[in-house]
Amino acid sequence: MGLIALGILYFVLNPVWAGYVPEVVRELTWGDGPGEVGLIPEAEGQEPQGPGALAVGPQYGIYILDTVNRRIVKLGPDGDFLGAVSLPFPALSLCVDVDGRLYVLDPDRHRIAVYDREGTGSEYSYLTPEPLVGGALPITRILAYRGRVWLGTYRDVYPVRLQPGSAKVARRMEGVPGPSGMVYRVRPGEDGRTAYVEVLKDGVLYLELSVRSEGPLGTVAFLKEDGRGCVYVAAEELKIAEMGLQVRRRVLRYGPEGDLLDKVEVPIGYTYCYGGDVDVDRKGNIYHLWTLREGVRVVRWRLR
Amino acid sequence: MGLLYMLSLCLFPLPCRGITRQAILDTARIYAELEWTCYNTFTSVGKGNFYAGQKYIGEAYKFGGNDHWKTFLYKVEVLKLQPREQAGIDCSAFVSRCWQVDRHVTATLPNISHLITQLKLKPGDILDKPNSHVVLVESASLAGPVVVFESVGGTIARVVHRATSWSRYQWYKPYTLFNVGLKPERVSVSDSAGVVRVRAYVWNDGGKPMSCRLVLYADTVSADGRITSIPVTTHPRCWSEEVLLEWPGASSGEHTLILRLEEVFPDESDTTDNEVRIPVSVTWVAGADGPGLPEEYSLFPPYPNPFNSSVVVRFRIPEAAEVSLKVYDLRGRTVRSIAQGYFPVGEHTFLWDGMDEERRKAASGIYLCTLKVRGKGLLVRRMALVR
Repeated sequence: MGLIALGILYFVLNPVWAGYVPEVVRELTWGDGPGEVGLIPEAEGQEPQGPGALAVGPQYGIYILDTVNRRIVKLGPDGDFLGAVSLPFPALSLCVDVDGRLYVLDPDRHRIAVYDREGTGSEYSYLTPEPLVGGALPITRILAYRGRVWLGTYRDVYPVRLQPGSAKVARRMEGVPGPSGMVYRVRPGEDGRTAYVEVLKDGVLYLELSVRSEGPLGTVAFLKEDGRGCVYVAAEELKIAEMGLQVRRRVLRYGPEGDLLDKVEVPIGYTYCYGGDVDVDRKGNIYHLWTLREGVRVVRWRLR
Repeated sequence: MGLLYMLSLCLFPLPCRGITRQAILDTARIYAELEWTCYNTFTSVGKGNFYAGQKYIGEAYKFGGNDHWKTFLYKVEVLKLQPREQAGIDCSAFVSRCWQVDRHVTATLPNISHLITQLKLKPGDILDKPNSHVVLVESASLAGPVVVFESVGGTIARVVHRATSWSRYQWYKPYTLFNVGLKPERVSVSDSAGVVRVRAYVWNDGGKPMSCRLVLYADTVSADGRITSIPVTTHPRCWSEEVLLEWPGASSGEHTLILRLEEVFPDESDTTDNEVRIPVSVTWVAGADGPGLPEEYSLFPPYPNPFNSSVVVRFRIPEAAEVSLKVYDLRGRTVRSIAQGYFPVGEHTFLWDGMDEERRKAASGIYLCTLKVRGKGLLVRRMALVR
């Protein structure tokens, strides 16, 4: 019954939903045991703390950054619990490279940890090359493709070279790179309801993806490329409601020619994931870590 | 001058705190970049960990805490108290300290601020969810993230500076601190209609050059809810400057002044504004002497009156002065500036051709001719245009 209700809810939430079928891969409860994530405190005045991020590996394994419990929970493609990797610090961002290495970032303490497939970890500390003043955005995420690592803000990245014990952070580069080498740069439109994602190839504008919304736009960020040349962008639409800001989040899928193929509305979770609660695998399936009062659902929108 | 009236103006200015947006952010940065050493370990699942001997950046979070950063340093480094448990600051106390107001909680911060829209969020404003959490906004650009300073619990448990997406602020409301105030100045009256002059004090971002407009509206408390706009005589050129507003034809009764400060940022096409509503009580008392211009200053009755094509306006000044002769309609809008400049002693005569500033024929109706003498006061005459 729960799954049917969920399916109906997603159908209602996704009016332009065309090529995606949602399915719950795994339901997790709050806690620090096997198959559990996060923390719902019993005491008053203490915040619930959901998992920090979700990432999908090259073999479609699902990794959940369980920040509060300082670990990464590993799930199989079907949601079966495969174990956990302990972390030395409460990380906020997670990514997996094509070789299956896990990269985690704690931007507050300037720490990076990298784990190979066997779970052997290395820890690095870093210094940002420039102070975060004068409009520079704070670092919030880590990216890794084919042996290269970047620390990212919402808009741009800092290339990183990992050395024994420390990480050397280079100067900021505009835009966010994808695995193909393309760089994605978000440019807000003038009307407040439009934004453009400029796709740069070797520094030259190659394609422009337009993002439009009925209400004022919130954050627009490049999310991922898949193995078919499609690009995924996360966009928020804002609405002023009686209760405050109402935010709608969508994942937009663009074809290689820049045409908008699909829109998937992702519900706002009960807790906030600092490092990103949405990821896309090589086939174009979208994964979402949906936190609810009752627990955490790993939802996969399967591309038909 | 004939029968004079006395106008008593009663304004209830909103608190003028005089803090700049930059000062708000500077204070926030002190808390977020505070480097301190822990001497008393605190560990708790879900509430953060602080280990003795380690250095940390950002004052620790403490639910209900309100430690100034100096007090916090003293507590954790001299008294060696436990961060998070015995020393620290919570989200609303952090905002209160940055805004330099008394200690407020998330439920009461809206009482000292204005509800604005997301599009109008500016540095130093807040996103508040009563009885839950509040963050101080550093920047909130369209199609971009929200960059905030906040004292946050959880595993972070410190004051941090970070960028997040809007989805984190589902059901939060944007507020800006009261930042525009009014204080009354002298008033001048005539025998037929009065002009209320008030000074608005714009106090934000002290001394910082800017490009902005200030518009004042008076909303009369009438059954039909008629709105009368008030012309702004001088516009602010920089923050922390007084501006002059004139309100010809102010009627007796209760009014609400709506003061709206409109800002146009030179580097952005975006326009934002702030608005305050201030109750104003205007009382006219017949037969009393008003604080108008001295007797030797005269604005003679316009001739002919009513008029059809043009009207002669004549005034006399006993000494050389900077004078402004203007025509307003009854809604308070400037129709035509007839004369402006430095005039010698004596009588001066001008002709108003019934045209507005853009050389369009003014509509039939009652108009107010005002004579303003710099440093002296203002006189008003009523004229009727019949087409």
